[in-house]
Amino acid sequence: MDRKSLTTGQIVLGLLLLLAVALFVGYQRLSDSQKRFVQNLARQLPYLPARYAV
Amino acid sequence: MADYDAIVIGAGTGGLSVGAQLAAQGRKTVILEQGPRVGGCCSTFERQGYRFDLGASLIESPALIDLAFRRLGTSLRAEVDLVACDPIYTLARQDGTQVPRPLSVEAAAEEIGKIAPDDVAGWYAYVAYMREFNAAAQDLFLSPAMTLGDLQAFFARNPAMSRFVPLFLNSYQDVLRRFFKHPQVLESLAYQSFFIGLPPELAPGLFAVIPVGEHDGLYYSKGGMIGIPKALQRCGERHGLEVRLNTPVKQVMVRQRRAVGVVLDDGTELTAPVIVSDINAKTLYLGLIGEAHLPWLARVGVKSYEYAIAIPMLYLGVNYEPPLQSHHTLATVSLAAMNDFWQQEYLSRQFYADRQFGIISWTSHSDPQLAPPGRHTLILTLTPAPYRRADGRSWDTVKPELIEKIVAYYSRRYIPGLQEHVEIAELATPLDFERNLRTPEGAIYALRQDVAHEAVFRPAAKSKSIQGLYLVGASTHPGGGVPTTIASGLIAADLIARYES
Repeated sequence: MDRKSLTTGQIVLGLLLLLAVALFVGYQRLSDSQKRFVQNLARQLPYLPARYAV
Repeated sequence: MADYDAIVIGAGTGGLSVGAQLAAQGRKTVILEQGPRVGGCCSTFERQGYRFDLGASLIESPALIDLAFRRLGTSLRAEVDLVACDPIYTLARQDGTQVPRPLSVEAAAEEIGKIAPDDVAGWYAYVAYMREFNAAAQDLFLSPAMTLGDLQAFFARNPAMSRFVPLFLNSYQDVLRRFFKHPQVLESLAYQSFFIGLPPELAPGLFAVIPVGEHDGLYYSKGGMIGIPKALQRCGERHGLEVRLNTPVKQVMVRQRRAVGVVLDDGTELTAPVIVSDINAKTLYLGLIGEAHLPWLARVGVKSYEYAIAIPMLYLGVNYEPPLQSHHTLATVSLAAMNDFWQQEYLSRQFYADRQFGIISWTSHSDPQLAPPGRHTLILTLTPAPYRRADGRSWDTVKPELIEKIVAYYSRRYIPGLQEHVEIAELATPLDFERNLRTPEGAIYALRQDVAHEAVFRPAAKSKSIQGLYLVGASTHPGGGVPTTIASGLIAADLIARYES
């Protein structure tokens, strides 16, 4: 693995981590009601590709 | 040679809409209805001289319905005797106060101003915002929305829609809270989330357009709501449409991933190159077609769909004039109580006769012919109810005691004197809807209507698995409701014209 690709990989990983932290912090700041709205959609995410095929 | 050019399974408003359009396209079309009446949930039945609406008790968005009639060479007004409701509702709160919600936006603002002067500006902003959204979204009601390409094309045609993306990502109640602060104002606009089958905190924000749409006109069909499907049938028959009642279909015949006909309950086979289904999509794919005919991914998708809610209805014939103020009374509870009901009662499969909210439809107020002289019809749309009760008792067993308790509750809280004046009372439970309309679990909107069940994620109007198979009705885009299921018929008819020459 050369130095440049390692740096790119690190940047991508860093960005993904930042995104995950932002999502986590954002989620924590939601009201209980808003959390239920998000949870209702999140639990259905795995089915979306299959539903798209119907 | 096939028996027909097109066979439609089910004579709900979606089936009649597509059937009439296909007949008008010059196709030899038959609609096969399992029950004794047309209309599905938008139907009317008679008991001892009283006429009751089975499910739907009002229509809004008449422009969509009118479009269906215009394509048949006539108009909604020419075919159906509509009564405009003004006020559109009387809002009846738990504390006993009753407030009219007039049709005019300005008069409604005055009523809001009496409760919450600070929310009047929010009301006008809300109406303006939602009317703009509604105008931009109209195209979506008539587009197939089956693929990401369809959605991309829709947004390209309607660039203004990009402003409204937050409506898809926020809940119904969050949208209301952007405009209103006073709890009573929020309460007065919250119940309509149940029109799409979800409580305010779970319904997608785009449906907060419903209370605004009501101010463009809320109508009742004189003679009963069956007037609308009957009119579609009549218009279709002018073009040669055939409608067969009491004709259940038990199987859709599929050869090499192509629908070729149907088998009736009595074993008769009817063939056609185009089959249109107006029944629940899960029943269609898993029951009438069979999962062996589906690719594995579609099979997983079909099984993953969740049924919509069931809403029991109580039909009452009374021998007095009920002390109500308008055709529709919205018996409301606070927005928080609606959400609590969902979390604590509905999801726990509880149904309490004395903790009700919903719609009281005084249909004989708009059309006295619906009841014998000196008598009236009342239809109570009750709180959503579980198909399977937590206490394990059958809906059939609990019916008599439920009727008694619900009548007592409404008599005490909303309709004084009701208990002493009931001549006939009939309760339709989730089980009754399942039996009579073949809607699994009594789900009147077929499938849930959250974002994960909408548009490209709802079963497509043109089947992605079976050639020659099309879907209409509440199972497919744009979802449950009288105008939307009629629109689904237009979408399917357009697709058939394009793909099935």
